[in-house]
Amino acid sequence: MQQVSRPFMRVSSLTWGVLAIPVLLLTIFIGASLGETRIPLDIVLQSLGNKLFDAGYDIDRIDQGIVWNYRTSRAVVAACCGAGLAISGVILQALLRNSLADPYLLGISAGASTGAVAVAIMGVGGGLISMSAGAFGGALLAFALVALLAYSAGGGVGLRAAGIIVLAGIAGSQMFNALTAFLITKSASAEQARGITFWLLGNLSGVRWDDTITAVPASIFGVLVAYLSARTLDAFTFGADSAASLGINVKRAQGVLITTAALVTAVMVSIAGSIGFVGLVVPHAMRILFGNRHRRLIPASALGGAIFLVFADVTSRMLIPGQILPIGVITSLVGAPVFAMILIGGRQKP
Amino acid sequence: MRMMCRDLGWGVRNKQIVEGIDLDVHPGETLGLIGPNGSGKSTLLRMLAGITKPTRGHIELEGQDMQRMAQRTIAQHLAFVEQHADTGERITVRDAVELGRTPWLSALRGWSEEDDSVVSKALADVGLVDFDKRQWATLSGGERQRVHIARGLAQQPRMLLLDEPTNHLDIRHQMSILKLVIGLEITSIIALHDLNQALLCDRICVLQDGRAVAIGDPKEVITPEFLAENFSVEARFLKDPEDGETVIHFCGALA
Repeated sequence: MQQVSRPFMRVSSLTWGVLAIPVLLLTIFIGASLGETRIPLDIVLQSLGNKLFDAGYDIDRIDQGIVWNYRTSRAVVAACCGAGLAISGVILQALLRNSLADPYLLGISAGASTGAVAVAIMGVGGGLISMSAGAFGGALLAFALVALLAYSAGGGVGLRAAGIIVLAGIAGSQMFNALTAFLITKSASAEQARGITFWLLGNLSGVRWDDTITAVPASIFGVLVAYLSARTLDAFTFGADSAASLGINVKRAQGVLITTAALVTAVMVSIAGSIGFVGLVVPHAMRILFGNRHRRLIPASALGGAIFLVFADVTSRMLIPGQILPIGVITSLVGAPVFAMILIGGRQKP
Repeated sequence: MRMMCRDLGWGVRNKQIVEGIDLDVHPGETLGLIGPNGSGKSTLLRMLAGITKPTRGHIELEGQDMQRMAQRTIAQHLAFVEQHADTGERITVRDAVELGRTPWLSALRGWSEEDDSVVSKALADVGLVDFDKRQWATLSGGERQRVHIARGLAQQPRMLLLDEPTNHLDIRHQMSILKLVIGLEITSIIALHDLNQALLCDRICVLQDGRAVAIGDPKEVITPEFLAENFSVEARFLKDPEDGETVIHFCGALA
């Protein structure tokens, strides 16, 4: 195992900032360059130049449309979703002391699907609200119920027993999943059911620039809150009581951080459906590569999640000609073996 | 550090776990908390550490009401070493001890050279100088307990509270941990199981059914009659012919 040569607490966050931004931009650029339609690199650059700096290159409007409206917007949203989900995973795993915790643990994905189905099939909102608004509402409702259940079951003692919120999340998820299944079986046509399934697996195909209005601030907010709470998250290494004895206001920290994770996840789910695997596996992979201290883990996970999802999206567009796979299928198909390799490579040496 | 509590109590629903505790902790002393299983030692210690909020009474730290103090301020005054705090995370010994600096760090006050030296000193105090880079998972029970104590010392507290620090350790580690804690200059409160070990404390507080039944010099408090009444054991006190120390010999349980 890699030995730690100096305390993590001192590692300059500037290094991360300087490194992260160009890497992120490069990833998005690659996302914009690759796709089923082959567009030469110079056209891609010129399209971006036209849009970003009003450069005025004379290029095919269709190519430019594909690069800018279709691919770049998708890459940006994919990066935001990846970062947001990974950060939510880091927060929940740290606070709940449970390595199986993922962003959907709090019933958010189940609630979002119920909300989306209610809008799409039942016509809730009378066409005035979109499916993603419905999903967002459903996600928040589910989280509120799960939080309320956990709070009442824990006797309001600030969730010292982290197991309670996990159980409450499972109960909430089961209930909302059952509700979704009920609605689909009762009212959906085969076509609607297929569309909903596609959406549930995670899907970026409907994404346009409008979606960045919520995705970008939500992911930045999530990363920032988590980064500023890095020491608080570290303090939970030996559990909630130990965090309290280190001077952490456990109740407040759990409230603020879990709500942040829930909000960020709800925004991402409402845009892209429930993309699995990212929030669970990216943080673990980053822990193995960069250690457990959150000063490094948080930027690493945000960046790792962003890169992972952009490439997963590119793969989902290119793998089968003429057909776009749900991104969730790719994240699991590609992610599981990669994660297995990291797990084996990073195992503790005797 | 001076600590005082009056009429301290904690209970759930209609069961009172600890009640009516009046205690004055003197600066610099080692106070042992003893009592049979379920007598409320851990609960009392957790209240004194500011982790469990009392349902009755109050605690004062240096004349300040602890209920009104921020968790962070409490952590700057006292450190608490729980029983068997464990982690599955892959951290080094130094990482674990560095956590002790948490109450002193903030967004404005980042990690400094001084923090490094406090951590190094804490490691040295518990005899783990060469353990810096050892992984937590590779440590023995006694070594883990030492790391926890070092983490407590890295908080630079004026009082250390320990919940049965010698539990589940072999005899050699029990002796060395106890010697370490008693040798510390700061005030400490230790919940203890072993009555022979309790004899080494400056004072002891004996709990029985959540109440303090005796407080004072262990050699005066712990007598054969007292043990029969509170611990339901028959015991004799022997003098070690070598060094003259008193040893409790437990002869059997009383019905």
